[in-house]
Amino acid sequence: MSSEDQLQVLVGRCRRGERAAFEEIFRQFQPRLRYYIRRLDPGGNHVEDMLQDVWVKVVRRVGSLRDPKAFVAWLYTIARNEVYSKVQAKDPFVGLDDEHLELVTDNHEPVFGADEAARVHGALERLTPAHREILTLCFLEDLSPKQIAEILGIRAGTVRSRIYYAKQSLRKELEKEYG
Amino acid sequence: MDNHEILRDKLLRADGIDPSAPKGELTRFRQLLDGTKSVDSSWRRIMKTPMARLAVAAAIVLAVLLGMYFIGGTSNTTWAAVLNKVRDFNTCISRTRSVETAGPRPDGFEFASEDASTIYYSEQYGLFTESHKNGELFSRSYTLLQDNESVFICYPLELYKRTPLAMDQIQEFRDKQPKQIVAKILEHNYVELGDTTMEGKRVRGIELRDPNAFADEPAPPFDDFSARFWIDTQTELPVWVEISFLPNGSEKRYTAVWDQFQWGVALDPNLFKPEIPANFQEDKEGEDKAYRDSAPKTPAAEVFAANTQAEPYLGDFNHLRLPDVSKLTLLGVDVNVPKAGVRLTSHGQIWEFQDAVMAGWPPFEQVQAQLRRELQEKLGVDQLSVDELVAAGISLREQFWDLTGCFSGVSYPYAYAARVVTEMAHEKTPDNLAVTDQLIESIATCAVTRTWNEDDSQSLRNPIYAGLMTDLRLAQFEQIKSQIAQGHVPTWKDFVRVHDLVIMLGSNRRDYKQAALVTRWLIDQAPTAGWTYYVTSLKEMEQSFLKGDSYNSGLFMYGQDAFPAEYQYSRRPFSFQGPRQRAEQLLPIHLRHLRGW
Repeated sequence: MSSEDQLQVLVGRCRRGERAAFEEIFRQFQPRLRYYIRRLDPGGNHVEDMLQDVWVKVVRRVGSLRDPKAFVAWLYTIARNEVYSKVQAKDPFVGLDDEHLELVTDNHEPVFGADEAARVHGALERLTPAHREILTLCFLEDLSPKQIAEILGIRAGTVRSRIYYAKQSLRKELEKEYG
Repeated sequence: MDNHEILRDKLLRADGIDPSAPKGELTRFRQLLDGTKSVDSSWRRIMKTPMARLAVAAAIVLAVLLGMYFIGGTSNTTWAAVLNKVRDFNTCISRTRSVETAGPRPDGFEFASEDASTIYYSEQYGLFTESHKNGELFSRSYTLLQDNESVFICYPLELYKRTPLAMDQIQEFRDKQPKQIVAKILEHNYVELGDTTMEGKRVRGIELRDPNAFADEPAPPFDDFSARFWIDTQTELPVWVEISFLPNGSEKRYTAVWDQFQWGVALDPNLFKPEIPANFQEDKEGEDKAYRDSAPKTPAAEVFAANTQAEPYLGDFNHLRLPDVSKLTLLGVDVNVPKAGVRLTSHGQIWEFQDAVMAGWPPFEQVQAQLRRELQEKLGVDQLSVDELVAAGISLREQFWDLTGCFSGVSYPYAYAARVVTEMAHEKTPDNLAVTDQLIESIATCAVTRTWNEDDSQSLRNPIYAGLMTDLRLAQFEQIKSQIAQGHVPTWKDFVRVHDLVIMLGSNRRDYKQAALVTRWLIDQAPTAGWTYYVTSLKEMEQSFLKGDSYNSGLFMYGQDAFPAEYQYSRRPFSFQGPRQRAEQLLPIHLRHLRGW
């Protein structure tokens, strides 16, 4: 059974109210959610509150999630909404210039290896919030452009171009470290 | 682990995050789970708790009626006029009747539970619901907004329960205020039902079929949902509201009807001041931690829980191919008899009906020899292996249940035949614990422990339970002890067998001394066997037996929706499984956490 299938089974068990399934979901996603929320609200003091509120919503609402396949996107959407409701900030991720740029398909998309993880983590902080968020999602979860689009509330085509330009920016940031 | 996962873990570590959620965080999450109402909270309560269903629905009725004002305002002046009269009311009294029923079934039986209440609704004070059963006061339930408290008083049981209202409960009550959810109603369409006559009055109605009009959370899937509202065309006031739904995949339909409305009446504030009789006890159920949390606490308990799921009681023969006995005629009994429609609404009615039917069956001993001959002629049972005999027994029992079991005057040959073939299997291999379980199941299928009588002392006890059934379990007990002496670690099935023995020794044989000894054995085995969850009740049982009293404690849980139909399987050992469809729904009590029960 693939990990995707296993997750669907787990979500199905959560929908039936199985406590052990909720705990397993928590084990899997709590660290990633923490990382994601910290990237969205750098230096914020509300991370623990936000995490707790996210899980309260997950426990209460998972029964209304009709398609278990949509769980990951649904979870990050809850987390994202939680951040913006808590920090009372406007969603900064709209109207970006790169969304209107045509995707350059003949250029290679930068790739980041595990050996660069510590540097990638540091460089993420220096990116724009929009680029930081989309790359965080890419690094944390193996999501399709459609799923990322659902979380961010943008078009799938925009997701592709934003990822491309975000990766370019990240690569430049890493190169700067070598002067 | 692939590159993506390695990169992810390293990123987390770079941020000081342990990729596997630390134990402390998991502990806090468990506390959160303990304190968080489960998914679809209001819907789940609407569907599962009769009292809450009425209370929540009372607010819905008001909301819908007010909502119609706005809906109607755009298209139909009649509705606007009606609701113009009620929209400013902040109090309401109504009568509510609810029926839960899966029937009538194809076999003519209908199991239904019925409830009737009067609801007093006040935006200022909260809700007060008074329920009567058979003309007698059954309960009073209060949602007290000013005291932040809910109180439930059950008169027949002389119990009461006080629970502080959680903030989200108060918020939910306020959110269900008519004026707050009018907007929700507006988003949904209704259809005109036209005019008709109801109880001698000319009425006009509308119908909504979208359950999402009634709750903040998305509604769970329904196979059918309708809400109908009728007004008196002369007085232009609501006279009848009916909500009926069939949850997705459920056979049970829920219908609630509100009528006898009194809008805007002055409600005495004293109505919302509970008076608990001095002799009533506070219901402490739920404070027993051993009962509330069934998650395994020791490695042995974890192994026991895993074994319970992997090897269900009576599951040893699930792999066998069952012979088709649907065309089999036994004892010359014609099963194609007309089926009468019968509506049963309580355990008393169900048991009384079963007793009357079973009194018409010939005694097993009278037909046993003839059945054996017929089974040899038609199934060649003398030549069958143990597995084949057990498979035939399972199949015959299923046929018995298909013919409505103890509700039928023509089903008994199949249960008796099941007993015959499993007895043959048992004779071939008397030390096979699983085969003995099958024999006990076959006997219990057609033999209840006692007849029904309001006065239990007048019930007639079935001697087979104090005799043969107890002997069979005693023999298993000796075998289990012998196996343990050879290194066997007892399992859930062993627990079921010995627990059954304890109950039979106490309730049927009235040998309390031996019942106490066997109970002590179960308690002593608990740390290694892993059935620690049951130790609290086992200790209570032991104390009770030592005092010379019987004590009953169950093994399985059923879904709340199982009653009253579930009563047809009562009056049998706690190990009893019944038709396969039912057995699949049974949940060993120590696994209750798996379903959030």
